[in-house]
Amino acid sequence: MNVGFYTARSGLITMQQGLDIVSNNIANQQTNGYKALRPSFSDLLYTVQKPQDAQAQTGDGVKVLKTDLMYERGQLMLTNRPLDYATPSDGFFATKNAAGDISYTKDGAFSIAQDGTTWKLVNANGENVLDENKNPITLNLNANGEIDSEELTSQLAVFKFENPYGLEANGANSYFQTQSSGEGIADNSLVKLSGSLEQSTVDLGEQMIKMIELQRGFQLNSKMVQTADEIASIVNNLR
Amino acid sequence: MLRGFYIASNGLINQQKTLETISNNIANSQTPGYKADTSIQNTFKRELILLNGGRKNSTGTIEYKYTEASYTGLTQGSFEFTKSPLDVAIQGPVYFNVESNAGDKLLTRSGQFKIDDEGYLALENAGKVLGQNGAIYVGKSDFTISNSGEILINGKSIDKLQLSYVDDTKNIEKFGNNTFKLVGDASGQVPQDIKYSIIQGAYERSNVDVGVEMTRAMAAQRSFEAMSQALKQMDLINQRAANELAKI
Repeated sequence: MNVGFYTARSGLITMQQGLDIVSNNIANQQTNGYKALRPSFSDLLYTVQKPQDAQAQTGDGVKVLKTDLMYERGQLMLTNRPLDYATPSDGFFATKNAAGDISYTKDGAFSIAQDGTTWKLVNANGENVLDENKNPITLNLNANGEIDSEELTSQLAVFKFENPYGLEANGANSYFQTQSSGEGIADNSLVKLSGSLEQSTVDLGEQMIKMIELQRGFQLNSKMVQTADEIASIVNNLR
Repeated sequence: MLRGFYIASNGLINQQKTLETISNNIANSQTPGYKADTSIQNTFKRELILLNGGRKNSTGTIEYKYTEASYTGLTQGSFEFTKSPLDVAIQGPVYFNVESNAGDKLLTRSGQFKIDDEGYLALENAGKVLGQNGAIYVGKSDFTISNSGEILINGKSIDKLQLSYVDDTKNIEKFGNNTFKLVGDASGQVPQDIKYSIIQGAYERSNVDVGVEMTRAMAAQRSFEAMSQALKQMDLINQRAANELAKI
């Protein structure tokens, strides 16, 4: 059987998936608090050509094994907007959506929303930002209708993970905790800076190189599909 | 006369197997820690001589070519530095040891590790990475691996990576998921005089040279074509023999 066809096909699919991931990184180059993802490839099982001899093995292709969250600290950008927060240490802010799911984010561009008679601190999606007891932060406005920035900063909690590489990306700039990452633990010693935002960690140069590599990989695999096809055509023309 | 038929068809099968190996190398040109395979061919006659303990008065005179084995080139791949503490690379002829879920000891050079749900250092889909005292519990990503393989948390050594030495491609077999298995009587014991270095924050790339692979693919494809021509010629001769020789 013409196994080479399917091996090269797995290469095409995998390189394509790799390109999807790289392309998503590049698209999020300006997203606050974004951490780059990396495709991690793996070979497939091997076929033994001669049953009595394990040395004669042929591989069956490649797959995307997992995507790694390439956690690293991003650069801070000064915005001077009092409701912008950054955690220069390895901390995360916690938010809770209407369904009660708690997710963690590095994006500290918050706003204030009116909830009945109270004022709540929310993120760009309108999800409540949480304090250290994982309760929504309620703001007290003074007589002039201004917020007390210092009080807000003290209310805002920063959560830390034993293994931030184990977090699961959830879209909308947020992450879910997993068993691998451990539970998010509120840590008051972690710095939170008002008036600045953490930028995306995507290194455009690095991603472009990855893109070129994967594109060439795709091309080479397509050549192998062509070769396998030509082999099939030769076989068909034997008679 | 019919012998030529089978010699040519063997050539076809061989070149196709060679192409399968090349195809797998190209598919894995971006796979961390992947080692390229080369398919090696031998002739049937030589194989018979070998089987007869080197005596040449063997029965075979037919020069069949057939795929003898695939050879895994164990050369070092290049490094890519990533800053992630979970990426670990090896310089030198040693391999990380991983315990599969079935309890087998597997070898790998693919250093894109993770911390599993129980807090152990692990290779995705393969199993837990082994230290001198069994699986390595790190619990958090804030750990350091020294050049000698010592794992440190807060400056205190908790374990040392278990490594296996592979000196010959004959001693390993590929097992999928970026892993190898020791075969035969190889112990994997690292000799004292072997120099290696463990590098944290980098991973080893595939050692596939796509230029070489493409050249081999072209050669194999043309060889396949030539064999098919030979087969057609053989067919033509047989046709002549069958249809024209009788017409005297």
